[in-house]
Amino acid sequence: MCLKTKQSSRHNKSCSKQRQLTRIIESFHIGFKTITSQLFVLTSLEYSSLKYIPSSSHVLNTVFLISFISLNLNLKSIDNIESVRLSNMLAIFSKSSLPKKVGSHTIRQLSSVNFDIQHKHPQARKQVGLPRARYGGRNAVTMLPGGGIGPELMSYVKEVFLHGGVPVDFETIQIDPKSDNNDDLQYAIMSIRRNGVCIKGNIETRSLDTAIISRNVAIRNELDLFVNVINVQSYNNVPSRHKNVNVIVIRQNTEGEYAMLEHESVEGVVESMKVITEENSTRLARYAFELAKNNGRSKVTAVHKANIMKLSDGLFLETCKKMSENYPDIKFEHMIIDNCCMQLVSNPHQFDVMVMPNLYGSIVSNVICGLVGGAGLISGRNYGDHYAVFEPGTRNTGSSIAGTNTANPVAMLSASADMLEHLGHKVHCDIIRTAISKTLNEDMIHTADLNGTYKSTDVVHNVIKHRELLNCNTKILASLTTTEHNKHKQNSQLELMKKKQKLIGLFEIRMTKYLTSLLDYRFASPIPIS
Amino acid sequence: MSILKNGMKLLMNRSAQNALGNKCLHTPSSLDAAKTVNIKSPIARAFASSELNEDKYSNMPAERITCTLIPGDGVYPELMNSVQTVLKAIGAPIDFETILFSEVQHSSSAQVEDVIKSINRNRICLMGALMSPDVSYSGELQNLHMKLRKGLDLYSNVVHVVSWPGVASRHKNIDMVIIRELTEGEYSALEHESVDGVVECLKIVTASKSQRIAKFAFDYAIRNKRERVTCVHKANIMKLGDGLFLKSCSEIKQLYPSVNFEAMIVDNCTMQMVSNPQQFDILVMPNLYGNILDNLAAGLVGGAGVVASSSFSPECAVFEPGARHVFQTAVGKNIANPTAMLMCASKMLRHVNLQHYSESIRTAIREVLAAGKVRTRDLGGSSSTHEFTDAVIKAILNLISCTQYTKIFQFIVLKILLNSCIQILIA
Repeated sequence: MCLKTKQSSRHNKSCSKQRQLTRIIESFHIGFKTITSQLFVLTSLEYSSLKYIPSSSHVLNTVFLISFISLNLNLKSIDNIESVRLSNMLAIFSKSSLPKKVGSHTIRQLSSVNFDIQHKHPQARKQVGLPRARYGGRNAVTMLPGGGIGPELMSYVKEVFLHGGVPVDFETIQIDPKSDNNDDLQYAIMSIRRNGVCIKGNIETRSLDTAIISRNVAIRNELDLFVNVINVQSYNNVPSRHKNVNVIVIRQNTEGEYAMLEHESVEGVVESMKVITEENSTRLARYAFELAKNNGRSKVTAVHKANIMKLSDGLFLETCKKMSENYPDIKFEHMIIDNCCMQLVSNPHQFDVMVMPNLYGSIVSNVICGLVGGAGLISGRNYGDHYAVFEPGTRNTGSSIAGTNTANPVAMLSASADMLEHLGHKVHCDIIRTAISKTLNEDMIHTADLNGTYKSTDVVHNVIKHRELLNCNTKILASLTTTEHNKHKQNSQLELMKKKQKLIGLFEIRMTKYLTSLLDYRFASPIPIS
Repeated sequence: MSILKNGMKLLMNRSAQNALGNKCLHTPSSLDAAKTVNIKSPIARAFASSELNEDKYSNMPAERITCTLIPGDGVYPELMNSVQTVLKAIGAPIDFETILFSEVQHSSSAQVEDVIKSINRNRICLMGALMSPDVSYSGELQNLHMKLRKGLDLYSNVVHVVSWPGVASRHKNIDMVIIRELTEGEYSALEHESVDGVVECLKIVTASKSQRIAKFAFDYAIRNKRERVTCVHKANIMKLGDGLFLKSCSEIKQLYPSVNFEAMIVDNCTMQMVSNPQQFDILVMPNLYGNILDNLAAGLVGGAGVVASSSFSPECAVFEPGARHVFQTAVGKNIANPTAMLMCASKMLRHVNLQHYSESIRTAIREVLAAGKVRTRDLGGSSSTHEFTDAVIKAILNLISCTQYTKIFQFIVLKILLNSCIQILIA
C-alpha cells in the first residue's frame, strides 16, 4: 500500500502534503505491525486517495466492509487540517492506543506470513506465467496428494494413467501438515508455477498458530486462481435425491469472506472483513458468461445477499448485471442465497450456470454435490490467468476413512480427466470419462458412500478394465475361476459358490497387483524424456 | 524470490511480443479453458501385449503409431533400414512415413513445408544426419536443417552421453546430458559483408529463448532426478550476449531450489571434459558451444556411431544422431554402426509410452556390445551393419523367451498356491 501511495504521489502535482502523509503512513506501517496501525493506515490511505488521487478508481471501488468502531476518529471530517496537525494527531493516537493492545494475550494478530496475500492489495495482482512444461507433447504436472485420502486417490490416478499410457509425468510434492513453516508450500507453489498445471487433494493445515494460513487458500491466492468451476452432472444409476441435474457452479476463489482479515478491535469484539472488488467480480462474471456461451448454456444465475450487504454484494450483483448486457443471448437472473439454497434442494433443474462470491460458492457447491450423490463424485477446477489446479469438488480431506480402501476414487479420477482436457489430451480424457460413467452406470460398481459394497480398488480396476488394458489379466483370471469351478462341481452349493466368489475377488486384486508388479519394468514410473 | 514476486517480467514481456514464445505460454486468458481446443491425435497409446501368449507380440494395440522418417544422407539410409528391420522383427506398432529430405540431392527432396506438416501431424520423427554443403546451391544462408528447426520451433537438443560396456574409450562411467539451444545464437544465419573484405556474423541471444532452454534443462533435471545443472558460456568475453544467457539461467534457477547450479566458461569446460568428464551431470549451453561439446563428448564414449539425441519443441519430438556426421566414405560398404540410430528408435518408443519395446532394444544393444563378439569397424571389430543388426534382433528375441519362461514358471507356482489356499479355506 505504501508503494501504491508512493507511485501515485509521483503523478500528483500537489504532492508536498501527500508526501508528508506518505511518510507518516510509512512510519506507521514499518513501526507497528498490529491491527490498529494497519487499520489506521487503511483509513488514512482511503482518506488520502479520496483527497489526492481521485483517478485511482480501484482504491475507491474497493468496498471495505468494516466500521471503525474502535477508532472514533473520522479522518474525512478533518479534511482541511494541515498535514502537520494531522501527523501530530496520528502520533498522539498511536501513543495512546497502542500500549493497551500490545502484550494483551487475547489479541488476534493478522497473520505475519511471508506470503504477499493478494486481498491485502485489493486489486487483482498481475500474474505472469512461465512457459508451460510441455516437451514433445508430454506434460509435467505437479501432484500434491494432501492429507487424508489424498495419497490413496493419487495412487489410483497414477495407476490409471500408467495403464492408459497417458503422456503425463507427475512431480509429487508432499506437504507436511504439522510443520509450522511454509517451506514445503513455497516449493509446491513454485512447482505449480513451473509446470503450469497441478492436481491436488485437500491439504491439511493442522498448525493452530494464527500465523499459518490455510494452505489451500494460500495456493489459490498466490497463484491468483480467481475462479473455481464445478460441473455437477448426476450419474443415472447412482442413488440420489434428484436425477438429471446438470449445473455449473462458478465461484470467486480469492476474495470475499476468505480474505482472512480478522482482528479483535476491542476485547470481545471481533471483526472480519469481506472484500469484494470490481475487478475480480468483472473477470469472474466475464468468465461465467463466456463459459455459458461456449458451452451452449442458456442461463446465468448470480447468487448474492445484496439485500443485507448492500455495498459488497451489491457491487458483485451490479457487475454481473453490467456484464450480462454484453451477452444478450444468455438469460441473466439473480437470486438471494437463502432462497437459492431452498430452490436447489427442491428443484435443482431450474439452474444452469450459477455465479457467486466465495463463501456462498462453498456452500452451494456442497449442497449440489450432496444432491447428486456426495463428495466422492464431482471434480472441481480452479483457473487463474496462467495456472490451473484440479481437485475434488467439495474439498474434503476424508481423514476418517483414510487407509480403509473405502473412499470413492471417482472425484479424483474425473479431476484427472479434467486435467487431461485442459492439457489438450482430449482422447485420453474421453476414455477416462466414459470408463468412469460405465463403471458407475452400467456395472454399478459403487463404493460405500453410494450404498455400494465395493472397495475403492474395485472401482479403479473396473475403470482400468474398461480401458481394455488389463485384458490379459482378466483373461487369465477367467480361466482360473472356471477350473476352480470344475474341481468342486460335486459340492456346488450356493454358499460355497459365494464363498469362492469372495475369495476369488480377493485374489483377483492380489493377482492383478502381483501381475502388474511382474510387468513392472514395463510400467517404469516417471518416464524420462530421453 | 524477487523473480517470483516481480513475476518474471523480463521473460514474459519479451516472449509475449515474440510469436514463437507466445505459442508455448499458458493459455493467454483463462477464458481459453472454456473454448474448444483443437485436438491433435494422442501421441501415446497403450501397449496391450498378452503376457502368457505363445507369441508375445501377437496382441498388438488396436491403434498403431505413425512416425515421420527422414532417411538423411550418407550412410543413414542404410542405418534406417536396419532400424526398420529391428522394429519389424520385434513387432513394435510403428508405421513409418518416409520423406526424402536432403540438401545435396535437392532435386528429389521434399519441400520443407511438407516435412514440417508431416512432423506436426505425427508429432514424432526419426531423422538421419543431413549433409550441409559449405556452399549453398540456392545462395541462402540457412540450410535445410535450420529451416526445419525454425519451422517446428525445435528449441532444445538433448544428447545423453553414456559409456557403453565393451566399447573401448578413454573414460569410463560417463553419464552426462548435454542440452543445447537450437534456434538462435550463431545459427541465426545473419551474415553480411558490410565493407569489401569485412564480413559480420550476428549472434543473437534473447532472454525469452535463453530462459526457455534454461527451464527445459531444469525441468529435465527434476524429471530425471538429476542434481546439478552447469551453464556453459563465454560471458567473460561476450559480456552482453552470453551474459544474458548466464543471467537467464541463474534467474530460472531460483525456481528450482532443489537443483544445484553452476556456471563454467566454455574453454575450461572442454578441458574438464577431456580430463575429468565424470564430474558433469547436466550441461546447458547456447547453440554453437553445444554443437562442439556434443561432438567432443561423443568422441569420449566411442564416436558418432553410438550417441543418440532428441530434440523437442512443445508439441513434437525429433530423434536424430547425437553427432551428425554423414560418413560419406562408407556409403554402400555396409560398415557403419547402427547403434546410434537404434538408440534413437528406442528413445522414440519410450517417448510414445512403448517402454517395453524401448527397454528391450536398449538392453539388447547393451548385451551385444558387452559381449563384444559382434562389433562394427568403428569400435575395433570387423562385422558389418547387417551382422550387428541381426545380433541385436537375436538378443531381443532371446531376452523375451527368457523372461517368458520365468513368467510362466512364476505363474504356475502362483496357481498352485492359489489352489491350495482356496482348498484350505473351503475345508
